[in-house]
Amino acid sequence: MLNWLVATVTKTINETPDSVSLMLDVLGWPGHRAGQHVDVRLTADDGYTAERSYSIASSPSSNELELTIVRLDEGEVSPYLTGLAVGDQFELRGPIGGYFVWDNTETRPVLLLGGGSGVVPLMSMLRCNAELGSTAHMRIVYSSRTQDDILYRDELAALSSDTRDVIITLSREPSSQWSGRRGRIDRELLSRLTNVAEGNLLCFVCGPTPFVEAMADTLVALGTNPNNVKTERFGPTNGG
Amino acid sequence: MDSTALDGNVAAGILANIFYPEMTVAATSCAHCGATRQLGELDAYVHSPGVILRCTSCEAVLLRVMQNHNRVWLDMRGISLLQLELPEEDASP
Repeated sequence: MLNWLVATVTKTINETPDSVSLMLDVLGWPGHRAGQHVDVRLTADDGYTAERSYSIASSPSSNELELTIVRLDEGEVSPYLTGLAVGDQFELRGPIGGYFVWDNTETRPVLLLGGGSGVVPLMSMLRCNAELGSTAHMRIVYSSRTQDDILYRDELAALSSDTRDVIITLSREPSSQWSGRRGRIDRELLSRLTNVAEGNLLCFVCGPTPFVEAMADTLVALGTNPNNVKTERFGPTNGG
Repeated sequence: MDSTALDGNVAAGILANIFYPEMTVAATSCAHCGATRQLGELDAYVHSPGVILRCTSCEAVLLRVMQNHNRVWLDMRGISLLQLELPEEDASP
């Protein structure tokens, strides 16, 4: 039985024009594994409740729990959460999920593929890899629409190292100022990235359903062991 | 599967209220086609009240679960076999 816990906002970080990271102090938080999520519950004065799942962005080694919320204007929950201020409180329960998780005892090379806000649970894995001094080689390919939509932009750049590789690709960037990769994550790129691991590669794919399906199908077509491809899909039906 | 399907991870919170072991890593065998998948991999539909999990191979309904206040409805007849992993401290039979 998972109990509802009270989370208190200790800091808010505006990540992009429509997303906010909430740093939370959660009384009784038992700790989590990278990739897990929480259920958030909001209760109106008349007793009506709305629940949504949000991935945890912080590393298991972090003292505070971090959630990154993208505001969906038609949503019931995200407009409220993205408007919270320091000291505000709400209910959550967790951690939840044992399928889409990475532990730092794992030594196999890891490929993380994130589409849009699907980068959030992957960020927890990347931070975990960095903060706990893992020996596993970890590479993230993050597909975003434009530069303005990139979550954790500066931190991602700083996390790049000998054993951590960060690739950001933009599908709809209008500016010529972007010197990085453009376009979607395609078969050619995945072929290059999966070749090196000799069938030993562990893959985590998170994003909208069409993104996840396309990535997982391509990885398997390229010879990745399907058992080593973990996916987490989200969509507007779960959002808001 | 249509493009609005999510995955079994979305059912983890509500199932955690019913089952003691972590359910997203539970192995489910489809009563219709026999495919065995971890629950977290199954296709999930959340349009209706509650969550419906379908087989990723044949799309048969494996599980329906709904909660309203403190009452839960659970239909698992689409799962012919459920294999659960107990936490280590409960491992001795």
